[in-house]
Amino acid sequence: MDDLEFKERLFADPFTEDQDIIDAAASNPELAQLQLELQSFERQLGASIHDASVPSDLLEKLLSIPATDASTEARIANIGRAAEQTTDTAGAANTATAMPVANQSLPLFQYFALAASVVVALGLTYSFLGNNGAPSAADIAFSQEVLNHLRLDTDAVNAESANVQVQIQTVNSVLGHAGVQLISASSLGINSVKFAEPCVIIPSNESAHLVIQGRQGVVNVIVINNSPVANEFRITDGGRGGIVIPMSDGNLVLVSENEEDLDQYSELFSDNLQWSI
Amino acid sequence: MSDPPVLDGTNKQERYESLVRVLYQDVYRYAFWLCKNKALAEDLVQETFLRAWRSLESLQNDKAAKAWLFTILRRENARLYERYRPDLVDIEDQSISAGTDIEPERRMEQTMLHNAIYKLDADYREPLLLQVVGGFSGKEIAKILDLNNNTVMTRLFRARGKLKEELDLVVPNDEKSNE
Repeated sequence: MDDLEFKERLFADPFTEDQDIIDAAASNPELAQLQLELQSFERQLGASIHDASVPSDLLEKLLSIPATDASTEARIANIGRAAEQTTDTAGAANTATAMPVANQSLPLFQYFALAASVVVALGLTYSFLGNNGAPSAADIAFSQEVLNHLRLDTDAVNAESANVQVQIQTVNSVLGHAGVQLISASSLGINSVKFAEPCVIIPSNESAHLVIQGRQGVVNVIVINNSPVANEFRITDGGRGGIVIPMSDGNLVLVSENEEDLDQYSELFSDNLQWSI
Repeated sequence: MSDPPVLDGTNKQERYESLVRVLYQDVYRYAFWLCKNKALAEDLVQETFLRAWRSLESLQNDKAAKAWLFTILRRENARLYERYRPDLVDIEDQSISAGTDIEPERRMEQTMLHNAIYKLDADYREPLLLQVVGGFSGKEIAKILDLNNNTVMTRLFRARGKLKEELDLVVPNDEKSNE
């Protein structure tokens, strides 16, 4: 083994126990010195990397995951069963699909609380409404998460082109999951609802996802019983447009593929949703 | 490789708790150095263990638990990067040591080393972290990163070379080293 090979292998693994490396160091004081220096540096490197302090409450959070996950799954399953029972009682075809949402899009815990310097969203443009300033990085991250959910929720995507009509009981059940009640189902034009499922945008906060038939195409409606966004703003993402609307106890997000007039749906839902949380 | 974890417990819950207690600190440190941000690292770790909990039955061999978790975490980090591009953060803003009793000179050395680690390209930083944090061998790192062993060893060699170069220490001649 020449000196260069010795150095390369030692740099790759300063504490290698390969016999030929040990023998080479034993027979050459300069190589032995290099080995000592590299091992010393490696200890410094290891100590530095392990210096990263682990959050004190992280263990507790991780240990609570099974209970939290079970609770979420149970609530979603209950909603699903309630929707099926209601539909069966009505004697109508059950257009509700399975409840897949928990695994569709797994948003990052606490993501929306990140400092503005951390996140730069890609491919989106935003415009704000009113005089409350531009959306923050957390606002953008939230809307990005919503758009990501819409891309990943294949059941909702499939429902867009399917000829289905969700029963009013199912819609109410799903909205109830997000802590919302319809004041007037008839004004919503309930026959045009093509999809209604609970979904998860922010962990531990219930959300509902509706797909309704609009005039130009379908409109995705996300209702979330949390207010990560304080100011109303619009999103443009390729051919899609959306609007994020803060409501009394939650947020409403409307997204459509085409040049749908979302303002009419904004008014419609703002006037007909009552928060019960 | 470092000692494999011993996962106690016969049911899923006990096995999961054992997994967390034995490995969460290493998983967090790997996440931190991978994404360079404390809040994101904590998110990644929680996502990783959530997925681990949901698919714990697929972990057949407890000795592979650390590699399994690190692989899940790498995928989550990649998924995050597909959607967001976090700004690089100044190491001084992300001061990682909770201790305040470190001597100023050592604190300075640590800061320089942290900055040097941050400056490494991901191709070099990842195998180095897997070796130092995870205690994986070259072959194990190759498997996790889906690379051949020679490439991993070359990247480890260059990673340390770049660190020492950054710190103005002895630098090896890597003319012979080709991936």
